[in-house]
Amino acid sequence: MTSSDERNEPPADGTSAEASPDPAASRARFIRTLVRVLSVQVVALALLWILQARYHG
Amino acid sequence: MHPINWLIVVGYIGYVLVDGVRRSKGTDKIEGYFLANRSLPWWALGLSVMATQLSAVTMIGTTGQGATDGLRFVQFYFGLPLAMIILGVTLVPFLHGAKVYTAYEYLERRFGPGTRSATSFLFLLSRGMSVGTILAAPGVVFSAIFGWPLIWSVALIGVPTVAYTMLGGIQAVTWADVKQMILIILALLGILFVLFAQMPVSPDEALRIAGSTGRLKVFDFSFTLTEQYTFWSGILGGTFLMLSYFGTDQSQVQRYLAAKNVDEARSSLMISAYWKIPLQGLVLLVGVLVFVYYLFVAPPLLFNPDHEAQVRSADPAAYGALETRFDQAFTEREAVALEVADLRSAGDVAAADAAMERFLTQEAEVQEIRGEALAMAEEVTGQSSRDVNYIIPRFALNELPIGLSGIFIAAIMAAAMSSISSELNSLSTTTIIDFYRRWVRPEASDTHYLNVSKIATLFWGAFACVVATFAATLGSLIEVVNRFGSFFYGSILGVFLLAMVPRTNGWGAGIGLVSGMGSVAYFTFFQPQIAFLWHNVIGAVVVLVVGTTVSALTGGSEAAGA
Repeated sequence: MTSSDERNEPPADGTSAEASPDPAASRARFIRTLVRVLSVQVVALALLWILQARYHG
Repeated sequence: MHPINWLIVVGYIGYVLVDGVRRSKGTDKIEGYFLANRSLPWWALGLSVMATQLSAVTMIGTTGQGATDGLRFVQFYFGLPLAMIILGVTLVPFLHGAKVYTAYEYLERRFGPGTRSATSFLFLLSRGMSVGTILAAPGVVFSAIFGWPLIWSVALIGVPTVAYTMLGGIQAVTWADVKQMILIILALLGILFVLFAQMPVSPDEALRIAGSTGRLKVFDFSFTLTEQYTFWSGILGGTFLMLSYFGTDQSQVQRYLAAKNVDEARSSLMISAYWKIPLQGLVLLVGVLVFVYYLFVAPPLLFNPDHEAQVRSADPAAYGALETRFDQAFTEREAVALEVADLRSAGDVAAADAAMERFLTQEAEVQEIRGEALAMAEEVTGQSSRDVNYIIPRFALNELPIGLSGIFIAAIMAAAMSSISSELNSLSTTTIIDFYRRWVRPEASDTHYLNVSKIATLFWGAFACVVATFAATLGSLIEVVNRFGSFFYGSILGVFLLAMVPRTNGWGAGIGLVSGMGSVAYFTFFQPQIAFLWHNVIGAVVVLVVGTTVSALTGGSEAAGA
């Protein structure tokens, strides 16, 4: 992280927000993220389940 | 508290203030002040979203809940990842693409100014009050623990927060949130390490003892509408609650509106989707382990030192007798807990199980005596004696090593400040964009709007401090406002969902909103046994059904603009 990253000064032309990238690439990236999120949740829930199964009661 | 701990706390406050002032230098236009010129990186926004949601109530209340009730509260968050994914494909592209400052601004384009004003007014009403309670929660605990007047505690947290929020806008808020989130996680991990290191039993045995008291029961698959935290209420009710909070609450929406593009806005939300459940599990686990710690180190009979002093002075003989019984019960429970651990490590499982039964009997005895002390405190003070919020702060001050106590107190302040600053920033944005610029001064210079935005931030900060200072006397009023707020959380989500349905109009949105809030009010007052997580589902569904029906009956989108 650089200080210029943190300062987030707008570009010289005054249009600060970037245009969204290609929709197909965006969709593919979102699906990849979705799979990763679901995988992390499955692992988190599995760990909680193991904790309960091993130690509860 | 040790001077080194104070030094850490003061150093933290000083750093946050200086950093806030430094960030204010690049903020000279309203878009920079409210949206950082839509240029913040996704990871900073994501951490800011998490920091906003993780308030001091989480640090002191949720850890305390872990100590008394265990891990089952984590089910409340089961719907969050699903909600983030749904928002990523629905509201985020809508709102980010609309290039608006507030979520409610978008509703005007869809349904007309009435809907925008109504929803933004409801936001200001509920959030204005709730920011006071967010400030009051740690303020009350700090006052009781350090023996200060409440106004000092409120000022210690409130004044620096208002200062950096007012000066630096969303830039200062977001970057302070990032650092505050890191501080919070470090403090939690530090406590976890110390807990495992200081306990006289192995981590495995500590968890086994906690499990025997039911504190490691995470999942409750019973499908009942009356149980507050179950797997199903978390997945279904929790999803609607998180959709409402992250999708329609300006304090959250403003984060992803400040992203460079839709992709980055989605990615910022995904950080919560990844980490919220593990983080909440960590927070609760710290509480569970503090419970186990106090099996081997004598805890106070009452964790609220203020109540303890009042009860002791009101009836010293009766309280002294309770303390003697408590000490004896604690000693017996400690002996049995150690016996369980010794038998288990010796491999004598049958004897360990038998000893565990005796441990549970002793545990019940200890809790019974605590119950008597709490009842006595309630009678003497005339206040609720529930002391769950005092467990972790007292543990941190009395049991943690010097330095780590200071870091933990600073982390509680960081959690409070990160939530309050985001709320103040969003309250100011809504006040200026949805009311001042919309109805009072539609045409003015950027400098003018920037100045009134700072004044609005100062106003809401002062309002929050006043509400927090008088939190005890305003108790019933705050409860009424918070309850009123819960009426429309799901209903506002319903309005936003309705906006995505073709051919719906302002009449449908208005009548749907009133119907949704009315339905939730009915369930709150006449069906109180229904768990509150379901209220969000009810509110959103009623708005959708009534809204689409009314829109169809009033001529569809041709009637928009009401």
